[in-house]
Amino acid sequence: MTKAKENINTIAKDFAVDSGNLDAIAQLNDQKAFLDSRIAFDAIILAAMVIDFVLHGCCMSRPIRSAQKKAEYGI
Amino acid sequence: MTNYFNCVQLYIVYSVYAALVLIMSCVALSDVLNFTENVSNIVLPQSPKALNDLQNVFSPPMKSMQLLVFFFDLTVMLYYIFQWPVWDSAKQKFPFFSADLKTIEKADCSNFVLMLIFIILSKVSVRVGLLTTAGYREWHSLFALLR
Repeated sequence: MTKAKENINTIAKDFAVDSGNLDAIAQLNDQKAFLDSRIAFDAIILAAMVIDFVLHGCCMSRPIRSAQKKAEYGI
Repeated sequence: MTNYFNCVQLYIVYSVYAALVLIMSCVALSDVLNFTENVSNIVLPQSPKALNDLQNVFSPPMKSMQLLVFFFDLTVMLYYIFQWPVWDSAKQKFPFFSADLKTIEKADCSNFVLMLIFIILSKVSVRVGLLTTAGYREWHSLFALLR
């Protein structure tokens, strides 16, 4: 993702000398918002994964619904 | 903390959590699909080959990796949906689908969840890995495998 952003920046810098490319480069720069958004959401997902790991560690000895199942199945 | 967790059914906590993660994964996937679609449509009139790297080298792996993350989160969500009590009546009629009916002493490999895990860990995981890393041409080999 970082390389894609660097690539966009390089293209915007190197090919902006041709006036015919300016519209396309502006469109290309607009796409960086999607990359930034994706980076943010992936960072949140990564944090969520770590929190999930800790949560499962805290509740490791506790079945997620064993008591209820035993009652329902009459075990 | 233990008392707090004793008051809450953990499957609800895990299900809500997995749903939130899945929603974020959907948004991230949507961003990547929008990015790849828009970038593939952009052409620099004076320098047509300038976007080759971005379109053919950087975009495909981003899309594939985000699809992998999405399918992983979707699988986790489906697992917790499978744990919901609403399926208990159906599971009760089909012991094959109810792993928790068996005691530890009688545990074997004949229930649905264990079979799913074995299958996912074997050839399905290989196919999913190939599909998400090698591109859509792999669909043809997948269909050939299924035939």
